[in-house]
Amino acid sequence: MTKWLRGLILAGLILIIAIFGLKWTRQNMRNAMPANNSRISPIILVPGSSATQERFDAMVNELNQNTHTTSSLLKVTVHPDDHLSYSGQFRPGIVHPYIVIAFANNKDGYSNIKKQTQWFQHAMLILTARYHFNNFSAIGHSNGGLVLTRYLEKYFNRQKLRMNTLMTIASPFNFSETNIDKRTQMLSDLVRDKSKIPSNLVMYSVAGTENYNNDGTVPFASVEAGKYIYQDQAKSYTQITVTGEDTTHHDLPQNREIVSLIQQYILGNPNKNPQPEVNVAPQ
Amino acid sequence: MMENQLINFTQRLTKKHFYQAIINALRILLPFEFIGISLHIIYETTFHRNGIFEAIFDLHSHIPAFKQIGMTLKVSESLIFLSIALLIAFLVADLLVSSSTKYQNNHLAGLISLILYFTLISETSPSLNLLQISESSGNILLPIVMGLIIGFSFLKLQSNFHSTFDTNLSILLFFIFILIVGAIGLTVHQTQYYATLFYQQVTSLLNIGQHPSFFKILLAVSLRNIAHFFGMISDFTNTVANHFPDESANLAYASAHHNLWKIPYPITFHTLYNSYGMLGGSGMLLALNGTLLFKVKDKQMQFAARLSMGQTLFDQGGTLLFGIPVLFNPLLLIPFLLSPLVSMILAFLFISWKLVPPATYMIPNATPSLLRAFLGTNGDWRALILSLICVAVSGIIYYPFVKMLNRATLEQGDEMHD
Repeated sequence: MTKWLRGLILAGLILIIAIFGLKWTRQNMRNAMPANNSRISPIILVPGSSATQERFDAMVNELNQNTHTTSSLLKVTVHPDDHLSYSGQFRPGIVHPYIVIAFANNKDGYSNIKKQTQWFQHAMLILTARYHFNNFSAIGHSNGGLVLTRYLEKYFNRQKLRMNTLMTIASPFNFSETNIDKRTQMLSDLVRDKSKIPSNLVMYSVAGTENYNNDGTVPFASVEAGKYIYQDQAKSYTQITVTGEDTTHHDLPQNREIVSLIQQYILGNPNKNPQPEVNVAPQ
Repeated sequence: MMENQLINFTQRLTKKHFYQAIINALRILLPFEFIGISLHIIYETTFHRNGIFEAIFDLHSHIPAFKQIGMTLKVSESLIFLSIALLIAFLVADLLVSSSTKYQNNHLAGLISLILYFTLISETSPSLNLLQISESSGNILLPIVMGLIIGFSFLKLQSNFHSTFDTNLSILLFFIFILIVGAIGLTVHQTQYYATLFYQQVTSLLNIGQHPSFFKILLAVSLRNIAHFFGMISDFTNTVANHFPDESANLAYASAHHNLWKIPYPITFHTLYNSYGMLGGSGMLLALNGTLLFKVKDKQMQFAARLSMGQTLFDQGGTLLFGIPVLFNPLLLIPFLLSPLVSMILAFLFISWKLVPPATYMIPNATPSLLRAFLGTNGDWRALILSLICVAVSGIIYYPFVKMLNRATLEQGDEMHD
């Protein structure tokens, strides 16, 4: 009798483990990140409002001079009807090619940023498939940083993609609002969905200041508001303020300091392929 | 014919004093091993970061002082295993001396063996931290060899001096051996390079190319099982083939596509050995345990089998290794090596013929062996059935040897009664 009882208890235990263990395994695999990084890890550049796909030419030139290399620069513009126009070229074999994703409709405003994010998502779907990459770094200038942030919160699929490093340059997370206590609709939305931002992201927010308050266009307080979105959510959030020459809003991408920051934090980071722990069975 | 030879060999071996010393030492330590293994299972399933119960019930947010309890368990478990190794060193020397001496045994041999063994593992461990030292106590061949050497030296000296062994002489002996231990310790420190080189050679022999062939996997498994059979349970023998690179490629594919049929490397160490070849620990001990439970006649073995049944379900065969004992048992060597190989060949055929998907998914730590393939294939019933088939076939492989075990112990018992 007791013999049977013991066997029954063990069988019951195994059954419980089977049912719940299966649940865990499924959940675990659903949340799994892409384990192996593709060899190509592009740097996606997103310009801000009223800027075109040529926005980053000066910056890339300067980067090439600094690193004594010629790189690959592909410029993509997304049109309102979702079709993409390409210029420049994507040179195979380069680990960090630059891809500019610009928008034909480059107007300012929250409603337009929403649209731009959709276009950006569309472009990313096509580009990842076309150039075979599953991890990338991104730099957004001005509203480009807002598009990237919204993209991370609304569309980013962390099972298929991995964003290694994000740098926003003078991105007005609170638009032109100088008082940090007055949150615009966009900032509230972005803060509300902050949990969607991947926790393995390394984030740098660069602000330029011509005077004590702004870079001529974007208030410093608005750039600083990014901390409500990224701090304690991304793996790290670093706020950098640049002053001196070339610190007006539109000069910032080619500002020497910022170019060397990009070189240091985005190019210099070899992004070693992080491997997940393979959970081999116990010994 | 072969059968009789094997039984004869076992019986002759059993009459040797040194073999008796080893077997009796292991059997005496059975309760310690049982408790140590139990704590180990509780720790691995409940307090490990990915332990199965922790994963299922999210225990760390419900149990107060979760980390502290876990650490306490871990430390106690390590200390128990360290004590077991120390006691083996003591008992083997002590039993060997007392079994064949006509003189009074004052436990000097055992004590010297114990002290020398402890000095040796402290000396050769990477740091003097007690937990670090207990890591190296997993290899129980070392205390056995130490006990045998000391025991034999004592017997030799005793027979030469024809008198009760003098304390002064034992001090002399102690000094000679402590010098030897010091020398070994120094050599290990100085020549860590050679050990590492040796490990590297073995690993690279098994690792040629990105993806190991099926035969290399079998070879790695056999190496590992032979080592375990002789009590060499160490980090190296445990992980000898765990570092094949193809598993992460499989996992990456599975996590991206959720399709197990098309993973890049269906035949790996993990999909074959961990899923089907080590049910109940190395040597398919789950099958042996089941067979023993129903077929063994010896009371002591029956008891050990009943004790360890719950543990082999969680892949911990220690109680069985000590209680039968499986370790150093010539009758069980063949099935111990054969049954994992047969199970893996079965798994290989089933996977090659696409009858079961290869188990690739991440599973919780310390998942019971029968469920590993089931969970690793995201709950494929065919994998569960294959696991059961593997256990059944291994049980059939073990069966004639268990019968021989019965015969050997029975005849021995008769001799004793005569």
